[in-house]
Amino acid sequence: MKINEKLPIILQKVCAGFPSPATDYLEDEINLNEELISNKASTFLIRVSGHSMVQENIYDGDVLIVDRSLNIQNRSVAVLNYQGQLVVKKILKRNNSFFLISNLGDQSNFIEITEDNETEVWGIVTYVIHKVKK
Amino acid sequence: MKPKFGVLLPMSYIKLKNKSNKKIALVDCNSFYVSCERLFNPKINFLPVVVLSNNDGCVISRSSEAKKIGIKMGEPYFKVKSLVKEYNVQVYSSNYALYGDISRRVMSVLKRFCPLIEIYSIDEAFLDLSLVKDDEVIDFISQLREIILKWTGIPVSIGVAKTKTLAKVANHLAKKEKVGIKSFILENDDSIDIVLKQFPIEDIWGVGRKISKLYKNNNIHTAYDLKNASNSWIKKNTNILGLKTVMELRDISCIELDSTGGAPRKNCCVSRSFGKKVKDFNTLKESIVSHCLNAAEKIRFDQQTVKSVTIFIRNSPFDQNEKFFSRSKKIDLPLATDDSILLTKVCVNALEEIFIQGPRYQKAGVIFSGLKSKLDREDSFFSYEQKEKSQNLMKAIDKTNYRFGRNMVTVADTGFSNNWRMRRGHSSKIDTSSYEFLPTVNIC
Repeated sequence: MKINEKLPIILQKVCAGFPSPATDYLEDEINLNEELISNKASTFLIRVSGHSMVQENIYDGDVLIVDRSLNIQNRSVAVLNYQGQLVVKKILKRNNSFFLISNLGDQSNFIEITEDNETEVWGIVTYVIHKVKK
Repeated sequence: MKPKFGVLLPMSYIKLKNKSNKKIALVDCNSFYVSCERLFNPKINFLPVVVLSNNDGCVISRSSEAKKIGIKMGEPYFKVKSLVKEYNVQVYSSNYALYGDISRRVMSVLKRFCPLIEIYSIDEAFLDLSLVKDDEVIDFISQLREIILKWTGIPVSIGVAKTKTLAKVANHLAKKEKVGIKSFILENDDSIDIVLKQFPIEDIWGVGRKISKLYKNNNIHTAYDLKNASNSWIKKNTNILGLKTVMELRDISCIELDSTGGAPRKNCCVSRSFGKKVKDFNTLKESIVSHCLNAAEKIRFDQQTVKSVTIFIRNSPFDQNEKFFSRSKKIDLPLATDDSILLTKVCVNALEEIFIQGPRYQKAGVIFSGLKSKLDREDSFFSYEQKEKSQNLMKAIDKTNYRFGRNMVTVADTGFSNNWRMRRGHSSKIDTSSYEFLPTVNIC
């Protein structure tokens, strides 16, 4: 102990102020790609135009993170190919069948997702990127 | 029989020795560019669709519906315009940003399920399936096909055989099957021969137009004929590749799968057709300089230097109003370099030499040849200092362009007007790898 105390001051690194406890963790940056995308090959970003999904917190101009490798579940929000048109809809499961909910005015229509209906799931929406406007 | 070296034998060695058990798959995306366009526009799923080459020149991808109405591969667009009108064919300009990103996705899925992969082109890959059991091959490839379709939206065909050449044949058959797969692995020789008897010689992988003519003149018309040609005749009349092809048709694997990513390239060509015909020197110069810079950036990215530069200019071979005109010039550099500024000077000097006033130029390009890795370059003692200076400048240019987009920093000769740039009248303008050009879904 005594020897240490006699160490010339010049050999000790002295920093003014409290040393940052974060220096050990400098490399740990958040990587949003890794956090938000679990399957890179099957995940696409798709921009939305229109207001029909506001009740699901999807607004005009938002960007959806869509993973094609996932399967639909009850209450999924999905991108679907509905009669040749890509659409974004909420899905409900009733009696082992899946239905998309289409809002027309105040009325909600349930359309079954089957081949005869030309409804095909394109991908499952996992996150919504929404820019908060000032 | 006991294995000679016991259990200590490394896996890779066993695989090399055990050729009889080799299983090669060829995965090929169906009408790849068309499938990419359909992914974000399902309205065209059942319509005839074609994708055109750079500058809307020729048909380079066709949907099955477009093939059925008689549109041929490589046909100039103007020749099929009447068919397009008559059958409501959907026409797209090529969108390589999109196709490149989708291709990367397909290849990464393949790699995930089979690490031994050779990416053969933007839409084809060979897989080494030797570790899959014979009776599980069909199951493996049909699941692989389903996963690729679900994850990436791209339909593929998969053919499996003991050699690459036969895997290509199997893939041709897979394309015709609704399930999209075909394996020769558990089939006996007779049933493969039935297929080969109907397989035209010119469709065999590695058989070019010239050599297929030679074969036909010698009464070799099908893959089966070639398989049974005599070794001595093949040796005498073709090259080593010809012999390899014959062996491969006989189930003997001669062309190894290259999963290393391939040898470094020896040439780099950048050329574009003009959107509007070009007559004046300055516009031509702008385009040559721009191509030269792009090529220089490419080789710097690959840590290469260039020893010879060729530039070429030509008018349209289809123009009926003027004679075909095409000129080129090759310059051998005293020292291999990757210096954009030096290379630009060389290109402009060459252009000054070959340019003549008159032709309505339709295409210009730059070819770098004799590319060498920077690491084994023989350094010239005298120009060392100058080199280091230029190295730093090039690094700075590439870094800036990488961060702020291509051609942010460039030499003034590229000009600012750019009205020679490509015509892409039918582009879907979607780029799944760029935040600015994401596909849009309308949910009104």
